[in-house]
Amino acid sequence: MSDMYDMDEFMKEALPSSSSQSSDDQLDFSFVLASSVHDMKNSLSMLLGSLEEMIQESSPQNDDQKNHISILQYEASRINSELIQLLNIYRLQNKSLPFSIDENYVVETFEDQVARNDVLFKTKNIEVIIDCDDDLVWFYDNELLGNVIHNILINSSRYAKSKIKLSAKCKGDRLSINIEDDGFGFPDFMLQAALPENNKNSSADSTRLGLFFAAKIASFHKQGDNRGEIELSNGGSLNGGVFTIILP
Amino acid sequence: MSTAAYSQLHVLIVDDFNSFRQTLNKIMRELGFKYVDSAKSGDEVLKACKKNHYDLILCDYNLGKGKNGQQVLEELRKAKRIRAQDIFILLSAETSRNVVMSAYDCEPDAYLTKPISTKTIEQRLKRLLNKRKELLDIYTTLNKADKNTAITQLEKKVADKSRYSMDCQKLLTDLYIETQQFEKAEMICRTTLEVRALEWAQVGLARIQLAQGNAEKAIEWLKDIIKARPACMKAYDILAQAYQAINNNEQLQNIFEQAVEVSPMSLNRQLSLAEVAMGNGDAEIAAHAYRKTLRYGANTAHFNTRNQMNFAKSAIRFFEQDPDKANDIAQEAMKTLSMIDDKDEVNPETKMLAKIYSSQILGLQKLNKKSKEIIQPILDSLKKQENVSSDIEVEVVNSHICNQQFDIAVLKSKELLKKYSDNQSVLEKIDYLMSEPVSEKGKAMLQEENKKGIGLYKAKNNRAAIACFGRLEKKYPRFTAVKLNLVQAMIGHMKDVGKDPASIARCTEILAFLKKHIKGDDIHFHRCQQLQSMLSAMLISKGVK
Repeated sequence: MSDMYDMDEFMKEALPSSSSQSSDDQLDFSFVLASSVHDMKNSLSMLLGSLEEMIQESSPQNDDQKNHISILQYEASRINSELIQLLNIYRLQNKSLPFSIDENYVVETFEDQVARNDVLFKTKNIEVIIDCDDDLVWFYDNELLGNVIHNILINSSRYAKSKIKLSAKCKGDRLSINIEDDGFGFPDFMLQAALPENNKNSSADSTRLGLFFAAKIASFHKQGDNRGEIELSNGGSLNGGVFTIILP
Repeated sequence: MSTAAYSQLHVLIVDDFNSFRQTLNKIMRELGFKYVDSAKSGDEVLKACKKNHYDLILCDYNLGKGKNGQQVLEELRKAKRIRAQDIFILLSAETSRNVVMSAYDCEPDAYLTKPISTKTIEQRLKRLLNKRKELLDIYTTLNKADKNTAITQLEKKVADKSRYSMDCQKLLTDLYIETQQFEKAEMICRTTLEVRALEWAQVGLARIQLAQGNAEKAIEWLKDIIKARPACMKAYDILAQAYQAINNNEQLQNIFEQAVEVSPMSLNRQLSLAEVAMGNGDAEIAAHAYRKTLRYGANTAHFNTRNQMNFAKSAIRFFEQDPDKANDIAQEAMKTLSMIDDKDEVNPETKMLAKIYSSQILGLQKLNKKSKEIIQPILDSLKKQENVSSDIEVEVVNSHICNQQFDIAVLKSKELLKKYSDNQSVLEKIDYLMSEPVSEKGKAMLQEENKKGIGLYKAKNNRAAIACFGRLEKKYPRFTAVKLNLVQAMIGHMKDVGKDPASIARCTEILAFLKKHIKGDDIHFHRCQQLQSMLSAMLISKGVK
């Protein structure tokens, strides 16, 4: 996990508003970093694309190979999706990205993200279950929420033994999305980091990068006084980690 | 996975990379599609779509040189090569801001970022084709432009709680507005907004206001929407329509400038910006915008030549206004003009006009001998020609002016005035050449704008007065009254806030121009001299640099 802390440092530099310094130099620097992030992300996309083509052309010969490929895929996807989120937040804060709330079918958002990671789940032998009313609609930015779910799915694939379940329910005037796995669950420090009082402070240094992104994107969704938020817990129907996104 | 339905559909894959075209082709065939064509550039797409009809187009954003995916889609829509039921999917490997903005702006049926898994394509296609199946009747009606039937069909879908009710509501809003059923349109928007502040419904309400003739209210609302959502391109487009409705060309230009800043890749908006800026006399903005439309590459031959000519014309105006700043763009215009001469499909009159433009640039560059080499053969042939177009005649006079042959220009413009004394649209073109307006429109405009500027000057608002006269002067660079008023406002301003070298240089330049053109018997002669002595007095007064 040490790489994540490095990324934390990077993130603080790259996001102007989460920094305590506010000089022009800082802004320039964040622009340069954002551009580099963009570049890295493109390279990783290429790498992932080639990897998928390679797997399609010749499936792995033995378990060792399969294992190597799944690590390659997982790590590349993980960083790629985090870079995408980092860029999205950078752009949202600079008001240069459209933030467009529309009515969406939740099940379609789920299906898109599961399909996006189809090869990853196959190489890791993970079964993905979607439990969501076909007609359930909600208001959110499909692109941004999709990326959050994408990121959580990649992380879950690392810890799940064999199953991941996505479910969504409408609770009063809020939508609750659960992403569960059958792994060992989240360690205590992560459960702590995800508490609302901790992720409100966006630069809290123990906040994990993925969590920070998810919380940030969720909080962009506002309705009246309500803001979106995230929760982490253990247990759930698969007796593993449960990542919850709540949207007003 | 192959379904019988897929096998009947025609697919076009567009990507400049062969390997990706092959990969996609393989995927599509595996999914059961039989008719799969491919193209590697925007031009090829347009050609292919002219010949065949495609139900599904998978188009990469980045197509190398020429048009990108957004521009291809815009062009297909403009040329009506794409029907309501056809599916256009935009693909992209990079997710830079401009690309994301483009995708958001042009509203393809789907936008997918590479790497794209087979599963993603399969799933998305299934969904889009299901929607197409359910709404096909409506699309067919819409293609026939039978709005009333479409409305009935859409109302039924909404009543039946179709999965696509939301899309139906949006379409209904459009159709209600088009058929002037404003109350119904407003009902949909308001009901939607009660649940959530959705962009389309907010813009919808403003559109309803505009369609009912309340442009001012629409403008107010749209400005609020843009303030809260600076990337809401629909709001910019409707706001532009509203400014057009009230003939506020200054604000119209302003809103297009903002829009191309937020979403730079739209060819249509660049073109609109170029046209309105040119009309406003803002040749600098016009020349740059026209240049962008040309950079986006080959369009239809006609469109392209027209844009090249307009680019050249705006570049010449810009060059007249600011020779230093416009030097590079004037050079580029020279190259563009010679390209027009090389094109076989261009008609002789346009070619002649292109040559006259070249002579104007050369004249402004003080390369009068070269300029004459170009213009002389034209003048000779025009003498023998009957039915010379007024555009040619006007630009010939302008070429004399660019070559500092003012006496000939005055003589020839007098001839034109006589010839076209009852043709207002030609007189309006001649206005530009004259020291005072000759068309009714020009006269009325000068009177109105001058009054505005003088009012501001009298109210001691010199800065606004300068802006007002400055705009007028850009539009009609030879109107004597405007120039004099501009100088007077500038001197007045310097008296208030102190002298500055740029304003002094500008006043000196204008007065030098006037002295060259105003003779002793001119009604403006006296005032010109007065202003000159005011400026001179200022120059020798204390503290002048």
